Amino acid sequence: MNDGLDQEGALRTTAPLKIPVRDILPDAASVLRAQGVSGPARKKVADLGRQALALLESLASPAAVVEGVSLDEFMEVFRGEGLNESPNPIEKIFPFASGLALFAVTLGDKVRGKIDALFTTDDFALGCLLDTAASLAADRAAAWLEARCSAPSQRLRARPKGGALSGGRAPQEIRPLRYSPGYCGWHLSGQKKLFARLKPERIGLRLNESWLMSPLKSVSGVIVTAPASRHAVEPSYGFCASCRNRTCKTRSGTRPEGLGKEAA
Amino acid sequence: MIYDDIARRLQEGDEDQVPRLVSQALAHGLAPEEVLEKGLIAGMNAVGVKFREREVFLPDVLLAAKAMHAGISVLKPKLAQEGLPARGKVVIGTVQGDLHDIGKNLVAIMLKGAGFEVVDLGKDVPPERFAEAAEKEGAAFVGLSALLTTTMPVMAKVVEALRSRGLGGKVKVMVGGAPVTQDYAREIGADLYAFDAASAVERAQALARG
Ligand code: B12
Ligand code: SF4
Repeated sequence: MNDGLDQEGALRTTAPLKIPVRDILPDAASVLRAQGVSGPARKKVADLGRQALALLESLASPAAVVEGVSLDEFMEVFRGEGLNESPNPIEKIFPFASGLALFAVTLGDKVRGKIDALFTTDDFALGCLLDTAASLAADRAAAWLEARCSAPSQRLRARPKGGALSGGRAPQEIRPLRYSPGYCGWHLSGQKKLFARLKPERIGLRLNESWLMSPLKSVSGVIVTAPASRHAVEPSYGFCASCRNRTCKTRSGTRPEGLGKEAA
Repeated sequence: MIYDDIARRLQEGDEDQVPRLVSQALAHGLAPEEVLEKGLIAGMNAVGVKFREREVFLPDVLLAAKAMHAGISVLKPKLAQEGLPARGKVVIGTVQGDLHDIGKNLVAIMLKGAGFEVVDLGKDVPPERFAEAAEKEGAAFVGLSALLTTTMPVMAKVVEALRSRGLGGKVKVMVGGAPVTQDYAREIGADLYAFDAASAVERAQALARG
C-alpha cells in the first residue's frame, strides 16, 4: 500500500491506499455531539470522549481502493441487480459528471473487536463513544478521498462517453460528491457489482448475503465530480419519507472540518 | 436513606460506590428485591426521565447502567436464592445477515435497567435460534433489530418461526432499527415497534402490564 497522492495531494493511483489515521480522526466535540450531548459535558464524559479517540487512533488502520470509471462503466455498476428505485436523484446527477470514481474505505477490524470487548466488560459508555467516533471516522475517510478527487487535479478523471458537460455555457463551480448504495434509491444490492469491479477484498473487505460489508466501519460508493448545482437534490422522492439521514440537505454544501478545504 | 444514596450514586455513574452501598444495605438486612426496586431501578428510572428531558445524555445513561450492573452483581446471588422479581424475560438480537448491534445493545441495556431480564443472542442471529431461545428461556418478549432494508424480511421469518412453535401471541415480538417502521411492524405481525431505546422500555413496560 502507498499514499497514492501527487504533490498537490490529488489521487493518482488505483492501487490500495493507506489513509493517515490522524487525517480522519473526528474531534472530541463532534463525537459527543453525535451522541446527543449538547452543551458542555461533565468531566467524566469528556474524559471518556478523549479516551475513545485515543483508542480509535491506535486501533484504526484506514485503507481505501478507488478507481476512475467511464460513464458507461458506471451505468453498468449502478444498474446493479435491477432493484434501484426509479426515478432517483443519482441517475439525474451522474450523466453530468466530468469524473466518476468508484471507492471503498474501511477502518479495519480491530476497532470493532475493541467495541465488542468494551461491551462485555460493561464499559458501555466508552464502547458507544468509540463506536460513534469510528462511524464518524469512516465517513471522514470517504470525505478524505472525495477531497482528493477535487478539481483541478482530477487524476482519476474519466471522460464520460457521450457525456454531457456544460458545453458552451459559462464555467460553473465543479465539485466532487460521494453517493453510496443504500442511499437515495441506489439499492444496497448495487454493492455486488461495485465489489466485482473494485475488488475491495484487497483491503480486507468482504460482502455478506445481505450486501453488508465486513468490517462494519466501512463505506463504499462513487465520487461524482460534477457542477455543484447538479448535486442539489430535492428530497421529494417516495423513499425519502423513510430516510433518517437527509444528508442531501447538508452534504452538497459542506464537508467535515479539515477535509477538502481546497475544493470548497 | 440508603436507597436514595444508591439511586443518587447510580445517577452519577459511580461504579465503585453503588456496589459498596448495595453490600451495606444487604448487611443491614434489607430485602434484595427492595434494594433492586427502590435503589437501583429507581435510580435508573430517574436517569431515564432526565434523559428524556435532555438534562443528561447518552454517555451519562450508559455510565449509570454500568454502575447498575455493578450493583446487580452484588445482589444476584441473593436474588437467585429468593427468585428474581417477575418483570419478564426478553430474548434480543440482531437478525441474520445484519451485523449492526450498537442500537440493539442500547435497547438491551435500557431494558435491563428497567428490571427486565435480558438474554442477548448477539448479531447475525437466524430466525430459528430466536424461536428456540424464546421457548427455552420462557421469554415474554423477543426483541429484533435490523439496520438494513435487506435484513428486515428476516424479522417476518422470526414471527413465523415463533408461530410454528406455538408461541405466536404468547411471546410478544418487538422490532426496531433505522429502516423499521410502525407500519412494517404491523405488516409482519409484530406486537411492538419502538423508535429508540427509551421508548422501547416504555412500550415493553406498558405491554407487560397488559
Ligand atoms: C452511523 C452509520 C453508519 C456508519 C457505521 C454504522 C454502524 N452503526 O456501525 C458507517 C459510516 C460506517 C456506515 C456505513 C454504511 N451505511 Co450506514 N448508517 C449510519 C447511520 C447514520 C446511523 C446508524 C447508527 O449507528 N445509529 C446509532 C444507533 C444507536 O442507532 P440504531 O442502530 O438505529 O438503534 C436505535 C433505534 O433504531 C432503536 N432500535 C435498534 N434496534 C432495536 C431493536 C428493538 C427491539 C427496538 C424496540 C428498538 C431498536 O433503538 C436504538 C437505540 O436508540 C444510519 C442512519 C440512521 N440515522 O439510523 C445509516 C444506515 C444504517 N446506513 C446505511 C447504509 C446504506 C450504509 C452503507 C451500506 C453505505 C455504503 N454503501 O457504504 C454502509 C454499510 C457499511 C457496511 N459495513 O456494509 C443505510 C441502510 C439503508 C438500507 N437501504 O438498508 C442507513 C439506514 C442510512 C439510510 N440510507 O437511511 N453507516
Ligand atoms: S431524503 Fe434521504 S433518500 Fe431522499 S434525497 Fe435526501 S438523502 Fe436521499
